Amino acid sequence: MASILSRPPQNIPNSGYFQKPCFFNRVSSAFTLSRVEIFGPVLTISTFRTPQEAILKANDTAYGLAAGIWSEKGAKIHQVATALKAGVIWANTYNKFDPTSPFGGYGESGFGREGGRHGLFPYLETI
Amino acid sequence: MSKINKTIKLFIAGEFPRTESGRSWPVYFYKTNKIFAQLCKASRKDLRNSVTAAQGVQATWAARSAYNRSQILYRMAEMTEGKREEFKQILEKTIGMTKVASEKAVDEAIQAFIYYAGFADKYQQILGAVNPVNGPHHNFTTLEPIGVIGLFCNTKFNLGKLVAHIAAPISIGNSVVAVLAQEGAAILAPLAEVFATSDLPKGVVNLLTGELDELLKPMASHMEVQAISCQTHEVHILGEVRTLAAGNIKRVIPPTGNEVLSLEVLRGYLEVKTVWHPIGV
Repeated sequence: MASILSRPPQNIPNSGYFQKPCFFNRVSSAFTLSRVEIFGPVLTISTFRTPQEAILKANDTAYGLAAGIWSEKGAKIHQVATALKAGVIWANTYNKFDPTSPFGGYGESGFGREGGRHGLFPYLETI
Repeated sequence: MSKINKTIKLFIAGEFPRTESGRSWPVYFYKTNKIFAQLCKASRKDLRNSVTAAQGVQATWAARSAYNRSQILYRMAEMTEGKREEFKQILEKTIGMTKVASEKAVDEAIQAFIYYAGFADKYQQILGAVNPVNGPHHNFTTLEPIGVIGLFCNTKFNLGKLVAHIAAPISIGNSVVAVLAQEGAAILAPLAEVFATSDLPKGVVNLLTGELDELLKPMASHMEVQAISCQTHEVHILGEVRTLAAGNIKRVIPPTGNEVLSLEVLRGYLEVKTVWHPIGV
């Protein structure tokens, strides 16, 4: 069973749609919680033993906007980044943006890219 | 074409089954209106079987080296050349092309295979990028296959265009389920044999003959199909495809012009991946 690992005390307004940040652990791939894009301060944590298992879990969703890899080994970053189905992959960093770097997702995460040369393509008649 | 009565089979998962529905419809000699052959009228189940086959093999196909995919596509051109007469006969007898026109159509098909065979190991360099981001990152963009592509062809038949819209997606590592409707659908017979004898893994290309009205909805709403290429100029169909495709955010590739040998066509079948790789830390 998943459980809420941590829900730090935080003052949030009484009215309106607000959610305290929370972390869920022991979340399996079958949970809706780990399969949909939750646009809120919710983090689900699941574990893996091999990079292969992590890749399977990461790709087991209809979405693919962004992914993150943390590793000391550059070769492993390349290997995992190649296998992940996501439009943006951050390695040893997260949520980095740059006007020259295309941003956008695979599958149900949407159409097209913003930024970089690939962000310009839709505005061009030919290449 | 032949002296024996013939039913042109479907091409699913590298095999030549009849439709599970048992239905067929005749294709006639253009001039005499006599029966040329029977075509299978594929059902929704045939379509779903094709998607299962296409989905199952896609990752393995994409994992092949670009050079290997290129070689296999080039072999398709060779196989088409070897079947030139058979292609021509069907084009002339079933849709009334002249000898000159059918010769040109087969030339265009061969050119399409060769063009995308050539680009299979080059599109990555041409369309990929290294992006000059601010900060200690090697930021690069690579092109990946989208997955399973559902292809609908124009009812006004154009062999070169059909081949280009199969060759382009598979050169990148996609798999394809193509529905040939009405005019010219008998071309499935030699075309399927080209794919079957080119060392292409089974299921990468699946060909169905059937009716657009029946197969469009299940294809456009299928959750395991990631993109739909609608090479038809019937506008009401494109609108319907877009609506159904929204269910799983399929990429919809609208009709291209007749200029089908271009990077623009190839780009429609790509997914874009950008990696931020650390430098120094």
